[in-house]
Amino acid sequence: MDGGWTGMYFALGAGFVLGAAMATLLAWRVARTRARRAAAVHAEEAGRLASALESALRESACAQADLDRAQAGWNEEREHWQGAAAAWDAHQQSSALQAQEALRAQAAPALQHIHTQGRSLQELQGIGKTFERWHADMSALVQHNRTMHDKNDEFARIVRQMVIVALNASIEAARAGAQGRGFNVVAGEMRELSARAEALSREYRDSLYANDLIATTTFQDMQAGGKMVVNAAMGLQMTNGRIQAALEAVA
Amino acid sequence: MTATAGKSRFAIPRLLSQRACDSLDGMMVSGLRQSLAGGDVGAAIDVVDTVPPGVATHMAVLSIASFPFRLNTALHFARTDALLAWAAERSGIGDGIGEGGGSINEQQFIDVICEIGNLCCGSINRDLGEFQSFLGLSTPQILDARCLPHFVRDGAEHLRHFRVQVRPGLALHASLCARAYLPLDFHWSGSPVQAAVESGEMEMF
Repeated sequence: MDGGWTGMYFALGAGFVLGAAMATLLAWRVARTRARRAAAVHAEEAGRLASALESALRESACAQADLDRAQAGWNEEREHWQGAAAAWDAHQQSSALQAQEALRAQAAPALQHIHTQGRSLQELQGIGKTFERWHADMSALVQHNRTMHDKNDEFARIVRQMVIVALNASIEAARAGAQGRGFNVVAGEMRELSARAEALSREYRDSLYANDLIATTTFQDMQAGGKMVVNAAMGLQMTNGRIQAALEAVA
Repeated sequence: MTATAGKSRFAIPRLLSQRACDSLDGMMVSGLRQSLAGGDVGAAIDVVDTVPPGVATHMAVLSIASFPFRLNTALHFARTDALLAWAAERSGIGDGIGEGGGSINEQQFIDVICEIGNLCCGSINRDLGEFQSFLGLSTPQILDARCLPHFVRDGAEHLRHFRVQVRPGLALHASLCARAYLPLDFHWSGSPVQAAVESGEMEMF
């Protein structure tokens, strides 16, 4: 009985060990299969990457070739434009020289004209001499007016005396009564003439004052106008000087 | 007050606008202030209807000319003790308190009067320079005061008289006469210096 139980236990142990071995073997086979599949996937991925790399390298080579061609073209263009720029510079220098020559040719007569204008403006400043002459004439005119004032004052004094004399004559005629009637008429006429002469003297004096004012303001207008012209001429002369300097720099 | 001259007497169309006349009056007041009152903005300068008879025996006349117009200014004066004394003080001759204004002589007195006229018209000339490029100023001439009424007869379009209180007991009269030959219109609002003084900006000086 004991030997039967022992054999059974042995058989069960052997079976368990065998099962465990079988299970381990199965697990190892499953793991190996998975590892192979993973290796295949990786190999496939590596192949794709290699293919992509190869393609990229080809494209890079093409791009490099394009870049080289572009570089060569750019170098060619650069040389072309450098040549064109040098030609343009030469042309510009030549044109500038020609323009300068043309400017000089034009500036020379212009400078001559501007010198003539400058001399004329300089001479125009001499208009001051004319004003001095006018001033002398005006002073003479005012002096003449003053003399006329004096004469008119003397005339007014005579007229006032005449009025008094005529009045006295009228009084004497009145005293003489009927005999003095004719004399009274003459005295009356004399009074009237004196009154008219007095009025005329006043008007004449008034005219002389008007003359003084008209002569003075007219002269002052000419004098101020003359200064205005002289100032304008001075301004023009300064401008003329600047133009001369500019033209002389060119010519 | 409008003191335009010859308006009713002459049938001449107005060439000076009203604001141009007002501007000229303002320039004259400014000129009088600078020449007679030492720039004192508080100085009493009034527009008056006429120059009262007897206040002056003579007048210093100056002209400012430009293409389109001319101005005549007149400073009326008489040889009064007050004016002679003031002129003596101004010219630095005598102390101005002696009889007849110190030792100022006739020529020195006239020189002071002419200098005032020059200063006044110089100021007007500068102010007019804002509107006119070409201007000229005459030298002063002394005329009898009885010439004054003839300013109007001379075809003046604008005539204005002013009274300046130079100092207590001394007042002077002046006249401005303008005639235009072309239509003229401008507006002067006062010199920058005067405006600065009036607004108090230059009080620190």
